[in-house]
Amino acid sequence: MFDVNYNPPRKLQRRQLLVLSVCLAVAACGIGYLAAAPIVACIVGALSLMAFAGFIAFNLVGRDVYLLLMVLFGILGRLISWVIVLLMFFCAVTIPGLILRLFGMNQLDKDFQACRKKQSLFRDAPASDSESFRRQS
Amino acid sequence: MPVYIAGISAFYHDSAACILRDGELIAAAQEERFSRIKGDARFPGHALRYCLSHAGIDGSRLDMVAYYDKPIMTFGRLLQTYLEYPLTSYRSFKVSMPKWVKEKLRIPRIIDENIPGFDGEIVFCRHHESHAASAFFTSPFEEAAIVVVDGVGEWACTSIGAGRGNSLELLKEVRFPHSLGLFYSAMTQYLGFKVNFDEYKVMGLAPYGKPKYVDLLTSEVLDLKSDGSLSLNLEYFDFPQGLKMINGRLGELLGQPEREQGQELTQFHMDVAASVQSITTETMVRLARTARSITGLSKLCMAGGVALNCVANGIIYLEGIFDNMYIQPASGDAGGAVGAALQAWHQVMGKPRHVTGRDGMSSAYLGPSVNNREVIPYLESLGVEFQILAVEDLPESVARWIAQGHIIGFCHGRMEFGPRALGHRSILGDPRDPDNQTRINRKVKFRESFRPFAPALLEEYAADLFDLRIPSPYMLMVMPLKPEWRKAEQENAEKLAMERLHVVRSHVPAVTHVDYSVRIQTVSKSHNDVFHAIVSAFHKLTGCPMIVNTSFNVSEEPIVCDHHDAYWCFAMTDIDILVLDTCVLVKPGVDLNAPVREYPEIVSG
Repeated sequence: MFDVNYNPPRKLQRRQLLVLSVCLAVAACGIGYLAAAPIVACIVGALSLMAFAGFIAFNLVGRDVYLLLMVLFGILGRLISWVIVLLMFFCAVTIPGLILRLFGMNQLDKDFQACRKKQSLFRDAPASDSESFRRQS
Repeated sequence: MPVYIAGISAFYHDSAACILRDGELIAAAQEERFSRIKGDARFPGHALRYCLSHAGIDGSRLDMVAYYDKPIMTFGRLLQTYLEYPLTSYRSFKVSMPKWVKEKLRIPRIIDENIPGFDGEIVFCRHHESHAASAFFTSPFEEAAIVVVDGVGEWACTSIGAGRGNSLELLKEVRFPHSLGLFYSAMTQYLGFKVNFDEYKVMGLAPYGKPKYVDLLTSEVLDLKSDGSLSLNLEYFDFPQGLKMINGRLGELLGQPEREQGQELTQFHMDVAASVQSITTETMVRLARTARSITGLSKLCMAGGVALNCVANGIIYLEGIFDNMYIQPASGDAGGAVGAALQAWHQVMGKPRHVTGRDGMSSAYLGPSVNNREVIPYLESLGVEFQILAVEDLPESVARWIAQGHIIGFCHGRMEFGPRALGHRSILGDPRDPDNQTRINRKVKFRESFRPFAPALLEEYAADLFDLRIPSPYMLMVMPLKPEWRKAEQENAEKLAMERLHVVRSHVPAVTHVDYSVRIQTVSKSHNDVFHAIVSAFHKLTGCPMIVNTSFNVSEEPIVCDHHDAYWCFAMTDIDILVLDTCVLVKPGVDLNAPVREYPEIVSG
């Protein structure tokens, strides 16, 4: 989570507020015109104005605005990363895994009863040569 | 110009670094000793800096860096495992992926970032090959069979191989998830101890119980083959896809749920520990037999986390499967750094190996040194009273203080590499004192009272006390005490569990476990001159050829590294006397002129 004691140099905080303000303004326009979602566009636009106000009047409200936006976007960032990881898991693991399961994949020798019937679980170890040491795989 | 190779193990557990100069291991250390985080898995920056400074070079003089694992192969195994559990592995995926993206898939870049000026080659050794190399290339054998057993490497969990001269080949392996190491860790969790940290507690607890659950475990939970390979019934385990090692089914099978940390240990837990230890020992013995029959070689080298199981090691020796055996003292992941570096020297660079009859670990004294040049100003800055002894007076003084019943914190010379304190970062005591086990456990180390201590024993007396004909300088062998040193066998047999702690079982009760077993460190002049002189002086004073030697730390802390750590450990515990190089600090009220304690019944060596 964002640490509220985080206090980078004033100049950096102002710059971050300006960048945030511009990005949010562009996002608000995009959402308003392209996605035709005026309410969301207004909310994003308001955040953009808030960031800009923080940039202009940093001595008066800048630090509070900075903290508020950082906490807000910290939460948003976590949410988005959670969604991305979930999507990655779904696309890279769940779907291929289920398909492979349909084809009877069993790389891990998971079937205990089948393993019991084997004489040994040993297999030949892969050989190494001087070139293989240069690879990470 | 000499060739320098650094070895690195990191990002799993117990990271470490080492450095070779022209193939000779000159320095090695675990990161935890510097960072003071037990089992620290981060990049071993401090350890590496120490190694470079010991060698007197900077990163630009390094010819090669060897990493102890093949990260992409391990990543492949991880993905493969997730694919096998497409619906239930999300939690593990969520936790592990950021670590892989940030660290484990960026090893070359991380190495470059952490070694300024380095522009040599980076090589990657397979995890079990690193372990095997750490054992064989440092062994005193020209050729030997090799057994590696740990949790898991890239895919291999158990490997058998052979080493000859400067070549090493792994021949057979058992692959993930069928792992003896993971089984032991899973049972460690079931018994309420910390996975990857407290496995040795299970080993220490086992002698209090009876192996009542061996049949149940070997019929339902794992299938042990005659050649030592095994398969796990994954219905009882969560480690392939979850964040825990086991699931609730194991508790249902055994009749009790998983023990919570800190919950009381009952006879049931001791019986489970005994059963797990029994299965482990039997598996290791079978693996050793298989290694002998596959390779036909008469000497054995072992490494991997499970090779730290001294009970199993002792049984393998007693079974007489091999003529001689050598176990890498840093058998866990830390030792992988040494193995990777040696593999780079012998197998990538093709350099020959010279067998000298001594192992190549320099008695494991490979870490930073404590010396009076730094200790004296430090103690003066603290304003504490201390005296400086002449080096030649140190052994006799320390031996006398031990014989007076004092507990000594001994921090002298170079720090040990690996999990054992071997007389340079040790707490020393009198093994004849029946109260010392409880006293040191409770008041010095703040740990469970059931935990046994090990003796440092003069090598020339080992055969008198044990059926041991080979040296055990790294405290990696547990042996039964010979009957003539035992006492109260009847009483000991009649008592239950922890009651046995109070039975005076032998002439050296502080180091005799409840089953009359002893974890032995043999001490010879060639391995450690000063420490040998201390034990010899104690023997001369008392007739007892051993002293208590336990690691200089408190529970949950890494072993002390330097004089700062040692002083604070001394200050916070009931250690009576602290030796820092040759400076001596004494706690108030400790009488250095007390008489030497007499235990007339001691069998004189």
